[in-house]
Amino acid sequence: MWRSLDAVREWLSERTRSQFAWSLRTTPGVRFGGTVVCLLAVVAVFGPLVSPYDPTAQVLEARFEGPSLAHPLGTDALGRDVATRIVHGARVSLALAVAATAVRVVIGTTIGLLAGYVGGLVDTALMRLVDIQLAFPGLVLALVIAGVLGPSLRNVMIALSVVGWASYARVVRGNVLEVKDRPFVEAARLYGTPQRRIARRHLLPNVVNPVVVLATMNLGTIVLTAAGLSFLGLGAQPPTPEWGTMIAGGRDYLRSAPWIVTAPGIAIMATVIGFNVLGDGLRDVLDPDHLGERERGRS
Amino acid sequence: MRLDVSDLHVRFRTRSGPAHAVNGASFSVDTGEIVGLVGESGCGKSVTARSIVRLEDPGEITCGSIEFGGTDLSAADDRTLQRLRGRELAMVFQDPETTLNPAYTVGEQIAEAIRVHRDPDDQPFFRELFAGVRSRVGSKRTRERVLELLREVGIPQPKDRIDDYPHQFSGGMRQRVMLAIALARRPSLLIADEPTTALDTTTQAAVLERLKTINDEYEMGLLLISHDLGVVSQLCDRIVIMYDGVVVESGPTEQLLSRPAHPYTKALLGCLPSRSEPGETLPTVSGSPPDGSPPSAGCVFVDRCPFAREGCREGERPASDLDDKRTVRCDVPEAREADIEAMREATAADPIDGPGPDPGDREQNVAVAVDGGVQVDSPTDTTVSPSRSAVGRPVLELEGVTKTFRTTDAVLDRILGTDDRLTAVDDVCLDLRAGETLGLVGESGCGKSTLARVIAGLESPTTGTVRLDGEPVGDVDSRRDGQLADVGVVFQNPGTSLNPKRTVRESLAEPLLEAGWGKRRREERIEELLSLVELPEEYADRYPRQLSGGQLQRVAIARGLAVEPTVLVLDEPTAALDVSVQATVLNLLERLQSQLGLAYLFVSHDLEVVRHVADRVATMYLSQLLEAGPASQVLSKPAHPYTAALLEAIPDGEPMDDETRLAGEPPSPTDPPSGCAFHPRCSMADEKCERLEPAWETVGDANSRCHYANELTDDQDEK
Repeated sequence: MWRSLDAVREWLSERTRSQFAWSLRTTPGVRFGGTVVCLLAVVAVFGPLVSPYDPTAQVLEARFEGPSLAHPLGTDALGRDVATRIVHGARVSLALAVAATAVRVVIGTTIGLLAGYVGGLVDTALMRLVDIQLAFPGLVLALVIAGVLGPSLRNVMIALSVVGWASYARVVRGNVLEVKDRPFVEAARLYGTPQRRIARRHLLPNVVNPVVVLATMNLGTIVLTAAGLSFLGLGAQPPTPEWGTMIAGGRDYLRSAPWIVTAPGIAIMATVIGFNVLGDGLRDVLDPDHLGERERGRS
Repeated sequence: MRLDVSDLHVRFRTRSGPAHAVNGASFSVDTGEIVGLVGESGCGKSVTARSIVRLEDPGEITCGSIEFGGTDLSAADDRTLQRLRGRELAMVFQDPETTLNPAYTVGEQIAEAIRVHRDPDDQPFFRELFAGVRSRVGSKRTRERVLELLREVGIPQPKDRIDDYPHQFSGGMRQRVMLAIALARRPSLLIADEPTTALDTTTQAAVLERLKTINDEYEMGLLLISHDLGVVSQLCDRIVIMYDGVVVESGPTEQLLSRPAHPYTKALLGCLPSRSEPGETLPTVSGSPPDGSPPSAGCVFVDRCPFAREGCREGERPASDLDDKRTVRCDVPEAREADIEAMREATAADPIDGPGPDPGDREQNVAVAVDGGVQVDSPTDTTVSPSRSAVGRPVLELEGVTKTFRTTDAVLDRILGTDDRLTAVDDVCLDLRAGETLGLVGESGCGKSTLARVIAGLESPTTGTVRLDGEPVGDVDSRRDGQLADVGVVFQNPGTSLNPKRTVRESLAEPLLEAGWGKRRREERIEELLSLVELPEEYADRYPRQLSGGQLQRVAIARGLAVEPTVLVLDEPTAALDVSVQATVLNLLERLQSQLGLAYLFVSHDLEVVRHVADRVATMYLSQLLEAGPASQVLSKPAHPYTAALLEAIPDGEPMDDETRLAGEPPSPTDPPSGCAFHPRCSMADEKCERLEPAWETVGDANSRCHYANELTDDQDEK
């Protein structure tokens, strides 16, 4: 038991001391974005466990209370604690964003890898599919899906998963096309490696970097889109604590109780900015074509 | 105007601390003088050149001065620099593929340089916005001048080419356009950073000659930066040798090459394959090259110098004058006096570079490794390795191998059969025996790499057969496991031939895994392979980016050897390496061959390297073999004018012979000339060559595809 822990510790310290970890830590984008995202994650995971209020419990005598010690972000039209709802909302938003992004990454990477590596007719067919997907306005498709399946958080997730994988497919295919003619792939063919093993061992690890960057940025946009759909009444239904729904519920009291709208607004903004900055920073570290200024001098 | 660089220091800030690229370089270039700046990659020569034109960003000049015609460039403001760059200073870069703007015609780009020269101060931003709309070559005067420049740098039919875009030119022609842009400014100093490294030997010879004539005509100083001592010795009046950001020696070309004083210069000269007998073990520079760490006290070369003494590690090592023209940064008398031979012996007596081959051991290995019944000479005579006398059944045979590619991908054309086909390899017959090295030489685009790929199985031949051990084989997908194992391949660029995301161990394990070896056996084999290529065992867990170019190539060779092949296809294995590293890799290949009885197909454009390693040589031109035969015969008494021209183009300090010099560029393979493929560039060609395709005739021990092969060899006999 202790031995394996030691091994883990050694592995960890090796990882954190590596050049890669070092450049991760010193890139300002990664530091700032990473901090924001980590904070959000901690809030989403542990926040609901420690928050003293029930996010859906209505306390009608405590309606429209301004920020105070008992309610740091005030209460809304039904007397629910805004801070508690934000914390619970973070869980909903992040879970949805992570799930939808995961589906997008899996679909997009698989299609991109197939199109790029197999080529020929398969490539043409898959890329036309991608074109169709890109030509289709995502929000409209989400509206249609919500209309057909009925408005719910689950259906928003489905809608956001089936759109938006096209950019992953594009990026992966482009990179595969470049990598597959490199001598190390040819060398693998020479000693008889089957195609799917070439794809998994030699292509995939060399094309994931831009996918990681894209996915990070995508997490932010998905949070934003999901909030937008919920605001329109197509996503999470009240009384689910969701940031978009909260804004929708508070917009009538913008003058008298601005905190009801402001708090979820700021939460959305912080999330999107956090993910975007983190994505930018990761690109500086991961993508050799977008090397930071300081690094460029070495080549 | 005179250029004086003194005590220049340049450093880069990187994430892992400052990298010291130049640590006190001092040299000068006089008006009209040609100076060569020589050193291996990473020695700071390019950074020095870029600092002179003040393009050192993102590096910074921390110390020292660059005086040019009385101006200190290191302190000059932008306006002064702009004026100087427009009128006095010009630079030509290494890669002609990327230095021309693909969006404008070459005429336009030369005209821009002319305009800048006329008035360097007047460069309004808004005029640049119209550059594509209003052509600068519109005015007659400018057009005349551009044509004149194109003619001057040797571009044929300049009137037809002036409105062409860069992609319509070949590499050599593009480099000439770059030269025209530089000359448009009528500079008094031209800095050429590896101007011919990306070019073929024949094109290189032509560009170098052009530089020489231009230097004579313009009274222009020329700073030629190169890693190739051959190139530099051909052209330069003086040579400056750099090591780890410091000038270690400088002096007139002739003296420096005949009586080098600094141990590093001697080491560099010593590892040139042209200085050794074919097959002989090349002297190497032991130790590892500098890595940009801050300069330590003492001599920069001390860690790799066989003459190093205690005192060498301490104190400043100032440059001292040998006589009025030469300086050297070494004050150990034995080291300065020693000739290259002594240097070799000193290096050999002091082997730091891994386990050297033991002669007794070698003999034993050969006896074990070579198939039964094959008689191998004992390697008592070190100048002739056992591989030189290979006999027996060929392990690889090519019979009428032809490979064509479709030039269009249109379905209709394919159905109608009207698609144009490009012939990359045309009717090639060759064989290769165990323990033998076959050198395949030719200019780029001649089809030598395609031929190597057909043999490896990465392409299947359109017609003809490839036989391994007498059995016909197709491409990799149709080869059996045993046949796959028979051929190993080493690619040109070690940086891209290994998966950057996999450790050395994983890369080496893969062919073994595919061949069905068990875990235990794999581990043992990996250990064995690493010791075969003289790499320490702990390198197994490193990633490719943690290894140097030479070490990477060793790993690539180890991978090629993993499943015990009989044939190793080497596609320009040393082209991307420095001379000293090249020497160690060539030695390694030589040793592996005698240990394991391998057959090598050595593809290269470098005749000096081929002369060193090959038992037999084949020259290829425009998809055809023009000559094939024993190396000793082909490279000394060529039976084809093309081989003779290739040999002539090797930069060796001697002026070119007009009769054998190659004129023009290789014709396009989509539209090969009638008759003999080589006739448009051949000095011996007559009407018969234009009409009739010569047959593959036997001349002595060799074969040649020339109507006048016999006359050619007879001529040489008379001489």
